[in-house]
Amino acid sequence: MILSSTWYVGALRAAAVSLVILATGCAATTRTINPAEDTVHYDANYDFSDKKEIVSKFTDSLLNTTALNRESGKPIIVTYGIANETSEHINTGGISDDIRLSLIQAGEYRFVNRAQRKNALDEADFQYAGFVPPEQRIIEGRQLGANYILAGTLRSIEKKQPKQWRLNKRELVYYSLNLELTNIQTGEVSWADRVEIARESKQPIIGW
Amino acid sequence: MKFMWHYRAVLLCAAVLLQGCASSTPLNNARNQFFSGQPQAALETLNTQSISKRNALLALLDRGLIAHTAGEYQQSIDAFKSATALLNELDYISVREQTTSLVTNDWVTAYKGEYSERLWIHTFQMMNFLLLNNAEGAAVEARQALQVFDEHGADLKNDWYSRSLIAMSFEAAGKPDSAHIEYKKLLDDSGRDKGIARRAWQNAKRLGRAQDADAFKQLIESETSSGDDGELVIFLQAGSIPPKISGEIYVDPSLYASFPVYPDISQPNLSIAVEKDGKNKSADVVNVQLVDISREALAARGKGITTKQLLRLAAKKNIAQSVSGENELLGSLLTVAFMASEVADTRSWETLPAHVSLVQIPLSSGKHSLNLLVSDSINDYSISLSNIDIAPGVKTYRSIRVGAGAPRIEEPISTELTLPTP
Repeated sequence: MILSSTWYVGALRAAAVSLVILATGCAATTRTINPAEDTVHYDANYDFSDKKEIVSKFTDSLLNTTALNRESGKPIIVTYGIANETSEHINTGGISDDIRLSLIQAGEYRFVNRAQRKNALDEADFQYAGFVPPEQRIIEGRQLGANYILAGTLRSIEKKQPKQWRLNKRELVYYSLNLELTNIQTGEVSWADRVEIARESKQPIIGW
Repeated sequence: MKFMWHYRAVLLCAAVLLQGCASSTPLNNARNQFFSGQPQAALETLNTQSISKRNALLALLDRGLIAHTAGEYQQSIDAFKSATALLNELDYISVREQTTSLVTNDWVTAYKGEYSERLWIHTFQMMNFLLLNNAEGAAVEARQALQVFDEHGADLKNDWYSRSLIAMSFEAAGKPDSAHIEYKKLLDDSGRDKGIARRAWQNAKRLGRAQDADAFKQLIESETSSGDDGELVIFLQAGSIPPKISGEIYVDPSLYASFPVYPDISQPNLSIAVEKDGKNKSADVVNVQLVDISREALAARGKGITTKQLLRLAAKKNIAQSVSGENELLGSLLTVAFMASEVADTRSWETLPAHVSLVQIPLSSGKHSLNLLVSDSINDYSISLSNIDIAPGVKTYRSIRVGAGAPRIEEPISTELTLPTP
């Protein structure tokens, strides 16, 4: 009887410990990730860590290039975007915006804002429509003329493991982003560089 | 004691069996609302009511299609993107689901869609992006559609509609070389369709492929009028796809297996004509009956379905025999319950149209009013297209659904329809 009671208490304790462990395991958690330092990949597809790597490499390349004419001051660039030729809906505008931001902060390049061109014209029209005192109006004909066009193409190649008996499925994704600066006066490609990312992911085929 | 155990087992099986056959009421309600011409009410039902996880994909597919029909193209894109993400999540074999389905039926498993339905997610996405003038988005979907063709091309190759849209999306995104490859493959497989040949010829000219352009030109009966520098592209959907039905194979009078099939009903193709100022206007038309593609895709899964049915039959028979050995009455009850649960999984994307047609009408730049005359051998529809703005060198897109699932017009005039505002 005494033995049975000890066993009963032991079983109860074990059950309680198991419950605590299970409850801890099931608890929802939130972790803050620092996009500037952490590298996180959940699968083989493009993510913010890739964007960070791409932006960093292109910024370094552009800051260190000696191929551009800097005699008349800092080169002035207009961005024409990065074409997305992958099979994923990737916002490539985010890449070109971040490269522009890094270059502006480094102080080596100047940029004209193509996206705001129409708004700037509307604003100038408004100022000259009689609503703004003459001394506060902008002076027309003072916009910067760009020396270079910054444009590029993001491509991908995806390969899935062929169908066969296996416990995991593997997927290989290769991304290549080409970026180039075209001299607007001469049409010459004055600078070009490429960043490549290849990644393999593995996922189980059988789960609970 | 043993009797109690068996009694509990039978009760448990009955509970699982009943759950296995339960259909989704919100999904059925949304479909009824859609087919009675109320797409907004159907969307409200799908957005607000809870739908079981195993039918989550069907809810997203219906939401995407209904939003498209209602002219809510961004909402449709979001729903189809979620459907694609869910398909990736579901791309594994669930031990729990498969074990349960072995003693019940496939209704207890999460619906993963037929190969054809996976393709049509991208087909509707290409249409959505083109309608929103986002050619790059359409080209991304075209590449995803090509991945489906890479895996299941043999069963889907007759879907000329999706294949034409792939080429069209590449053209729109300024990728005439990719479009050229798709047009060439299409012409080889379609028996040299004249409508496709015209597209291929125009694209080859743009690409500077003179030899190919000459070869394609020989397939065209008449050239487009030189004044037609723009084009109206209509994505036409008519009727509703027939749902899957249950087929049965009897092993003996008390033992049978059920499996899903598409009804073998042959329907004539849509007849489509375009009128402008009371005169016929030439148009290139690509017609596809979706059930033909669905039937082939389902047949391709036939081997897998048969294997699973045989395993299920063996499992059910063994369990029933084992229980009968202990208690004959319970064994008989279990046999009846297993037989009752032998129901084919006939779930499918039921809001799909029966026919899809790509109608390309060359037009000069400016404003145009046209009549589209559509006949599906039972009903005739006259669709009035007013003040369509055509720009030089640009394709203008419209999507229309007629028949079952078409949005109800408050004041119907016979069978005349007007377009929803994009």
